[in-house]
Amino acid sequence: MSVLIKASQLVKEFKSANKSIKVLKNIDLTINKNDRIIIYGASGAGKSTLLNILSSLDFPDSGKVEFEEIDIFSKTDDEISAFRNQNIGFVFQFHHLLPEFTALENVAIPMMINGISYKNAMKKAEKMLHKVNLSDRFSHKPAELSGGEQQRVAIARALINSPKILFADEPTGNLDSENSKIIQDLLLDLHNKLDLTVVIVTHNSELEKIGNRIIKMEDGNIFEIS
Amino acid sequence: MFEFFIGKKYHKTKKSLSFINVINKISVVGIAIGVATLIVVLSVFNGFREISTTLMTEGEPHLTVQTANDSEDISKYLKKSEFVDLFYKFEEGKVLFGNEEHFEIMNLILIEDSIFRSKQLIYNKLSEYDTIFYGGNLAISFYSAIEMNLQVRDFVQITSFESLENSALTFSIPDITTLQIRNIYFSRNASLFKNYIFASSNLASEIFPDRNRNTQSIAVFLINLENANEFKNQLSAKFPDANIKTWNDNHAQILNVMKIEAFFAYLLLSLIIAVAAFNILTSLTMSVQIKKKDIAILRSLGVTRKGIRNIFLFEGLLNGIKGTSWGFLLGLAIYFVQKYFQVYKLDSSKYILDAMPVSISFWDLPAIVLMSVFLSFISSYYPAKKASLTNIIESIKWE
Ligand SMILES: Nc1ncnc2c1ncn2[C@@H]1O[C@H](COP(=O)(O)OP(=O)(O)OP(=O)(O)O)[C@@H](O)[C@H]1O
Ligand SMILES: [Mg+2]
Repeated sequence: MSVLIKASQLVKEFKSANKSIKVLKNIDLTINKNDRIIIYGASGAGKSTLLNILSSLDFPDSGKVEFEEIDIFSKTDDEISAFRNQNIGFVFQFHHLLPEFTALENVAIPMMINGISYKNAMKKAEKMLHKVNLSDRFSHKPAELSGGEQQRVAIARALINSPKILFADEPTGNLDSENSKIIQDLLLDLHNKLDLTVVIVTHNSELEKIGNRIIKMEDGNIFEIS
Repeated sequence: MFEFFIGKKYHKTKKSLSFINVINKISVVGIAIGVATLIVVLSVFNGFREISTTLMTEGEPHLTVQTANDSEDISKYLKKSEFVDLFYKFEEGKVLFGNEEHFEIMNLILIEDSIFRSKQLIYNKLSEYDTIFYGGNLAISFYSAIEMNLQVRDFVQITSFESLENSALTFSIPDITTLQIRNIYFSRNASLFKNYIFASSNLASEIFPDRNRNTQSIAVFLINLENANEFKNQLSAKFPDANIKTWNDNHAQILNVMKIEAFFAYLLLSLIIAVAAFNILTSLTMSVQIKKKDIAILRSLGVTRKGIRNIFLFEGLLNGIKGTSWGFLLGLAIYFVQKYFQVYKLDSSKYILDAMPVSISFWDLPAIVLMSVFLSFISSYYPAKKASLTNIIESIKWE
């Protein structure tokens, strides 16, 4: 079992005018290739903060995140951007699609950022939308899609550059149980087919079933449950 | 280039926010007006400059060559040159000219009879007692005729400054030549019209008796006036001893003044564009504010800060380019309408011209376009730079 991400001694503090809250308290976490990690915990426990740091969107106050043994935060901002583009996929609670672009364009954009031509990116995007069963929604704008469909487009977008790891922050948090089930099955299916490592933050106990590791987060600390 | 792809889309779809949309339209229309105004005004400046160049130089030699001993070789050279339309030898000198009632100081030019009537000199003859102006006869301008109350067939006396000087030194009576006015001419060249009279070169030894005629003056008219400087260089390379002057040298000061005027007009009118382009700054700043979440998403997908900056630079620049293009077309349209249909007339009792002259100088166009695009770039840069500094985490949380 090879290590994909090794986080050590992560500390994050938010300082406001009169007090400071320690949101991450010396967190150590190792993510192996092909893991399906589920993180749950009370609101405000620091789950999103942890996920953002693991995925290079945010910086810790101290501590290190190594991705395939390379310290992410020693890179320049441009290098981190390229790294994110090629290695990391995100799905957020709210779909976070770009409202002015069609479903197909939204999916194609990460490829275009990577320097692939519009035409080739669109071709690949069609395949990705097909994989998430949205072949008939290519030219719909996000506003013209249902919540479940939006989230599936977001998943297709997250995976188009064949990232090594997918981070999902409450991907079903905004969906009814039927749509949640669709997303859940889809994530599991993609994990199997694409040989993908996934880290999912969720309140949804159904979603916990797909994990091979369950982590509970409480007051800035993590506890591996199973 | 994904930055262009996204910037273009942002530029196109802002209908949701009519306020931004209005400011955008103002910036496009303003830039268009500025560009069109610049094109039209500069073409008017240019039109007037061309006209006044024509008027200033009408009948004036494009080059004058003074030479001590090369005169035959130079003549041969001029005869063969493809640039040269006409050339002739002449003598020139200040004279006192008049009759018992009036006299004036004038520049007298002595040329061969046939030359006076050649088309290059364009001295329209108002009255011609004698079609040929020969031997002891004289041509004066209509202006002098009115001023001095002279008519064709009148007799006048001419004394050169040289002989006046001489007589003062030797206490003798100056040589006075009596001539009959045979010709009254008209010229649009104010200097020729007011200060010159012409007579036949046969009179040279009579009017300027004490002159040493080793040095000769040659006047040259070129087929194209614009080649004057080039031809001067050619000629002085060939005949280094000759003293050569072009019409440009004689009028350098006024021509420079006109060029400086046009340049300041260019700078001043660029302010219209600058003010209009400032609206890009406003609308783009708002656009960036609204798109904070988009920016965060794009950053999370791997767009660099520079990439974000470029997206908004494109969005802003597209406004500038749109305005510039419309203004360019509008300006050219006005120019062509004026040029071919003379819509804007001038009062021909006051002006020599009956319509506002317009002429586009080729390099004005890129200068105007570049200025406009540059100003749009400047006003897009600040908001675009600001967009690139958006914090990912803070902006992505909003829903
Ligand atoms: N920018 C910030 N400034 C100050 N405090 C912050 C900031 N971001 C997060 N926090 C605080 O950090 C704590 C952890 O936030 P985080 O978003 O990680 O929680 P979470 O576990 O994801 O909660 P939820 O389940 O509600 O999404 C919260 O108490 C929050 O108020
Ligand atoms: Mg959260």
